[in-house]
Amino acid sequence: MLFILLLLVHQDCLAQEKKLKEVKIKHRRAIKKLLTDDKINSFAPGMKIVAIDSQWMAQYALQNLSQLLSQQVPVFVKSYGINSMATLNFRGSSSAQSQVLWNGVPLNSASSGMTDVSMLGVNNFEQINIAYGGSSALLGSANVGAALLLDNEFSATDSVKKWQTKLSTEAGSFDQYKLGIRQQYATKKMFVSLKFMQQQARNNFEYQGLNGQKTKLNNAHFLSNSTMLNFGYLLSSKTHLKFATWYQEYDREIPPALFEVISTKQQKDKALRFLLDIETNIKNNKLYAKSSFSREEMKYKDEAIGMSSQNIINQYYQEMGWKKEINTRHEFLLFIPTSIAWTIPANDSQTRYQRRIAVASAYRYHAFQEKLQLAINARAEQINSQSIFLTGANAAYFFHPYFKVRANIQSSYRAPTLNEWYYQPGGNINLKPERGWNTDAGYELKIPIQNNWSIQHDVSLFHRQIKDWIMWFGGSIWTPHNIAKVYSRGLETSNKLIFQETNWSIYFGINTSFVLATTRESYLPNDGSIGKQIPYSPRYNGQSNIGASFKKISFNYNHTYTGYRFTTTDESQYLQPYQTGNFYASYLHPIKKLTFSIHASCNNAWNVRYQVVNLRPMPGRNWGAGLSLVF
Amino acid sequence: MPGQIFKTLIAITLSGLLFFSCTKDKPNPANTTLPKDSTSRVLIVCEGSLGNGNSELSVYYPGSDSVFNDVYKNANRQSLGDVFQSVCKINQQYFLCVNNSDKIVVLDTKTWQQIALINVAKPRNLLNLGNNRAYVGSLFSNKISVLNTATFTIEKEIIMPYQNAEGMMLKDGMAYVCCWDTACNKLYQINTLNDKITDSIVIAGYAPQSVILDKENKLWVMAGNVFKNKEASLSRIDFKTKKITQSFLFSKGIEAIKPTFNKNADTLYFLEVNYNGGAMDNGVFRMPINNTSLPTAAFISCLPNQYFWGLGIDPTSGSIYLGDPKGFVQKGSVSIYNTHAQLQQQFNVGIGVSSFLFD
Repeated sequence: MLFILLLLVHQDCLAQEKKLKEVKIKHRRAIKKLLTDDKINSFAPGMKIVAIDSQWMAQYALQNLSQLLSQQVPVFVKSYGINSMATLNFRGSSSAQSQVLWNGVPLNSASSGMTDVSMLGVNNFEQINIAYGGSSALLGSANVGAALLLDNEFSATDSVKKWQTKLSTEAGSFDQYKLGIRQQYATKKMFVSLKFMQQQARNNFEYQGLNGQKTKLNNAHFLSNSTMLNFGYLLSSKTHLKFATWYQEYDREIPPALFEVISTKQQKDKALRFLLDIETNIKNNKLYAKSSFSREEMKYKDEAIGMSSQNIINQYYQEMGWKKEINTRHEFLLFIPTSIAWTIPANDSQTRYQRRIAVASAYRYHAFQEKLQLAINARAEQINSQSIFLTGANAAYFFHPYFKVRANIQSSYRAPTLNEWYYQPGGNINLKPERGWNTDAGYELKIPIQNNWSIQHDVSLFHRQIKDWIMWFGGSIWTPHNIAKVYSRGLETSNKLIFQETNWSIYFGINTSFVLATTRESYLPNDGSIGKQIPYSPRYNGQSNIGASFKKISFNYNHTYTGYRFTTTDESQYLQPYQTGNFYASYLHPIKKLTFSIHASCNNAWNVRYQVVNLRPMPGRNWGAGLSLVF
Repeated sequence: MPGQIFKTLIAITLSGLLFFSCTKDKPNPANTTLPKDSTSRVLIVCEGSLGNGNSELSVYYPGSDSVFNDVYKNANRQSLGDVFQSVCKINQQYFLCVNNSDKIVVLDTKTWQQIALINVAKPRNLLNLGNNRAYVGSLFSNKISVLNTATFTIEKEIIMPYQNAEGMMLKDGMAYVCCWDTACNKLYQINTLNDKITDSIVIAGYAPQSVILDKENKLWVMAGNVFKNKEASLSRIDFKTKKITQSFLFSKGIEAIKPTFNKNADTLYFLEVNYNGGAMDNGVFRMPINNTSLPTAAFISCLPNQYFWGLGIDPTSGSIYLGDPKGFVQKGSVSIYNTHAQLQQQFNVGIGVSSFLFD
């Protein structure tokens, strides 16, 4: 319907354009550009893109993405407890249907399909965006609920000094210590950035056991290190070379769940990634090629049962593309992404491969000083012996510089992962890819009111049907199965009221999310899940922030609400809703060339006892304080 | 400008209304009534799904056709734990082995209140020896714990040659123990008076998991671990000579589990499980004890994407109880069949229905 509406509006505007030709004003619409992903920048005008603003990037710099996203973005972060994985659920998607891209390269594990966002430190990235709704034709497998886009800087901006150093440190409750170092060197031709981040904690917080007894969490020590190098070099005025390497290691003890007496579980993760990207602009053509290699290693040990395992996953990704600006209104993109992932699954003696090759293209049309932006896309992909064809379209129309409507319709898919095909015991080689259609539409208002006030308001409605949804079934032996059809629909709103004066500002923001994700059809006999909400997908979820800043002092209070989460597919078991409140205050003081800031935070200030995942206790009230220096 | 503000506020309000009014979020409360009748009931072990701490005890009364779910939680206001493996009745008390919570929970048979909690690593099954003694087998351990069922304490441990003491049976003062280890191809005999291993009997396959006795006093041992490439097997053993009289090897890849006898102990029933959703080698199979070959067709077949995980035969009525775990991600169901494979009754229970105690 929205597309028809847009076409009608387009016709109307064509007529107006003829009449008003002599007063046409040329200026580009204010769309924030992503650092590295041109596919989203140019060919996804109808997608909802949420950018994490610099305030949150600074506040959460020494935290993991799981904290940032769960407190600031309409998403459910499924945290399996302290030191355990945290995965994303956008709009009722499964964790493997939430794509994470690092400078355009998929980070999702080829083995499990998931990305553990508790292992991704905010400090590593210069820009974090979320592209809601699926656009698998552009972004590939797993882009069903949304894509989390993590980008780095590879070229100097005007504001960057030649040498810049940033040191940040924080200490907090439960022996938490965090350190972040960022060293940057930039010239007109070259850009180098080296980032290091360390986090450690004992996490010996008190929790209430099943029998009501208070106990201190044991076996919960955690240590992580992350080092990233970004290098950009202008080979000529038109050719830019980018290189990045990123090493992470995580050593964590996994504490007992409430049903366990003790835990001796330990997990060590290591990941090494390389990325090489070159792009050149020749007249109206842009050619690019990027390739990346990653090697992820996971060691798991449980001395209590004499169990140990090691899993190594290698992944090579390559993409070549050509973007052509045909004229001022038409743009075209052709690209060929290929990837190969291989591993030796647990209890298997053979190396298992997943090979993917795709040809994809996109076309964009814009008119009326870019008031109207339309894009279509298509992708054909071969995944081992399975082939798939995807297509989609999206559009946006600026009725006014402050008012934009957008709509997006895309076919989506997720290929089965190596574990889902080959895991021993339980892998199912007969699994088909999950496939379906995503539609969403919404509007965005950014209105300045009077002199100092402004309102930002965004509403999105979405609707998605996915067939052959993959779910793991089992007791002792878990096996993935395609379970027919899941229907997701819902509404998201984002609202912010801002008052800004010369020396001070205040703001109030609230994000709400309503998601119904229900099983519509099932291949299981007498399935009790038909019409029921899928597990760990809260129907209601929201975050709000209220804050103020006066000169060099700023303050923020964040409040989150997470509704009931069912832990079974038939809604027979569930977890209670919870709310958390988090305070943050900072003071910034420039001294000549040095900028000095201190901050303090209180998380879960109301000391709420809650579980995100069943029987995994989360910490109560905890404190943190730190400082940072930029020079 | 005021009109613009007004419109914006309306939009925000409408969005807020949609947020709060679309669907009722609070689930309907579960029935928390406790069973009071203590005659002729069936305790249903719902093991839950591993790592989720969602096991349950359900109780069914065949006479009144009434079912009570989550009995332990309703009586004791706390979850039972992770992987409820088995239940055994000793001295008017129920002993519940909760495997991944490393505990045995002791319940009063009338009030369902917890009387005692015994810490045992990964308990699987309990064998009542009488005289306030019981053996407890553990997963990932080569020990059998000797439990005093009056004081609820572990008195000693028996070291077994292999790990995973699983199926156990008592006959004439001797305990017969299966060690579900892929390197093990013997059934072990323990003298319950001194808790010493006194003998071992070689079986047809590896990884013995269950031992039961037929009406001709022959032992039947089911073995195998399909995911560790140990084919399923059945050995019929002469109790006196301790020699195999008949052995049966299942085809490669077939998972055969949960052997049990009918009320006359002259027909063996067992489950074949196909985890991949196929209907082949999937369902309840049965064979008379003097059969010379394994049955080729299922007595009760599973539908595609279904497998049974619980099998029990009512020693009084001979009814066949089958547990369908429905993927272990929702309430399971119990179906009751007569000996002609005709469905008599069906009801929902907890997650991962795996075994039955006919009390």
